[in-house]
Amino acid sequence: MTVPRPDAWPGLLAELIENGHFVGPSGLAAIVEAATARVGLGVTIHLIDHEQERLRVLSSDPAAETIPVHASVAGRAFMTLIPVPSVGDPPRLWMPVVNGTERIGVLEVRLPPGADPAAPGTVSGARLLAGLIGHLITSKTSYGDAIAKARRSRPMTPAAELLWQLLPPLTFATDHFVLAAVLEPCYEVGGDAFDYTVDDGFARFAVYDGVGKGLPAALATAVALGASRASRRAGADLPGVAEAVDGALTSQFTDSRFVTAVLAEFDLHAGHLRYTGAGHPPPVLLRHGKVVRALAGGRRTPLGVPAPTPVADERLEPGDRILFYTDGITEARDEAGTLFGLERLVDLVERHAEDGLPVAETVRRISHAVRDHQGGPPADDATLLLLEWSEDAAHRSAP
Amino acid sequence: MTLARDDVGGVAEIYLDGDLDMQAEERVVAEIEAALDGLQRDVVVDLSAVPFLDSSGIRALLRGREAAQRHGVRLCVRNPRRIVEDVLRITGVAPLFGLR
Repeated sequence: MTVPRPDAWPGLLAELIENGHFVGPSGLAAIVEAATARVGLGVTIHLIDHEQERLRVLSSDPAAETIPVHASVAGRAFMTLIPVPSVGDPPRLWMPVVNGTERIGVLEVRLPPGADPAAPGTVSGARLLAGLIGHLITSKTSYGDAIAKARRSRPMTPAAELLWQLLPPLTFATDHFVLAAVLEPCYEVGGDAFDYTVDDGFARFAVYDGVGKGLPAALATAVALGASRASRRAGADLPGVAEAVDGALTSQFTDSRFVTAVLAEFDLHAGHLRYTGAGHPPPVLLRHGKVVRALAGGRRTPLGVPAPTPVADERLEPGDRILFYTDGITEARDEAGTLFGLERLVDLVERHAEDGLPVAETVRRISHAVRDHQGGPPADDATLLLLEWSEDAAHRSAP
Repeated sequence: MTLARDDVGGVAEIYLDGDLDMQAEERVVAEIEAALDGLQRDVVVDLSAVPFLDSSGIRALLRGREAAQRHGVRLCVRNPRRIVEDVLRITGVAPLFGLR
């Protein structure tokens, strides 16, 4: 038995699109529940929290249940981006929810008793429904606080609130390129940031680390982000962007505030990477599970300490990965004072990649490994950005 | 962090002992500014007893360098331990402080 009938899905999607015009974030769950109930389904939207630890029901109830990602069928769907049917009463289908390739959460689809949650028509219908809901959640988020509140397990500092609003989504992919980032401690982050754009066959991206902690660091980084985007959109090349950030920081701050950064651009067809390292730990190039080299060329002073900006070149091969990080990752210490270190970081990237996990899941697990290493959230901001130039990685990045 | 200052042959030498980090930043900058006060002389910051330098420590040195430039003199560092010198080189600021 296939429930709902395969021809019920288009009407359901149409109803949601129509009704979606007139709801804000707090009304979204209700229109989804109402529309799906009419075709015999029970649907609950579970959102991933910022620390990517638990799935939290989109509802106004602060006591709503949460589901641990690492120990649940819902979590398995989130981690692998593969729908997971579960037989039971009621039968359920756990469908990953993404916007593009940004992982947003999981849709819990409850079917009538006796229905097959793995029926192809049900899985494909639920995939479309989850796709639409992913778009709706993303487009509605900024109109209210309900989705922002549902995603957090505790309040954010003003610095973190400021910074997150400036950042792009954690993950982006084209058909042969994936980029995923993670930023901790997510409720207290200060000076770390990442940025990227993908246009006309070029990916341009950056990792930033503003000196100091908290709001002063976040403000310096915010200035760097603003100046880099403004100059890039005005047509500046890498040295031009660096010069614009130098100028913005030195004109705004008179106290030697600086931001270390790697600025890069990548030709998605030719595999040609150009980059500049402004006082930042060099990114690492990984090929066939091994470190090829640290990308230590193109070095200059941190942004905000004006200097000429050299640009280095690197040719990538299909399947190559590049790992960008801030010192909060490698310099995380355990109780005995042992550093997390670059070797351990590279080893984890390779191990998870061999498991065939989505790139976003790889960086999530590494960020948690850093946290576990030091027995709590990072003392310093810790950012990881992993890029993979491969069709296979792209295929793994959507349900 | 403990600080000491010695004036030798028209150069102010500042000896730092301890981690050069966010906790030490303001005191180090104040010490450099005090060394510059009213006197036209270069400043040397001795790092031989500094086991750890972070980005706030680099900022302290940059602020000291700015202050020296305002006075028309130079600020250099000397005797960094290997781990501290690595940080100064990776961050690209080593040449600003006279390290070749």
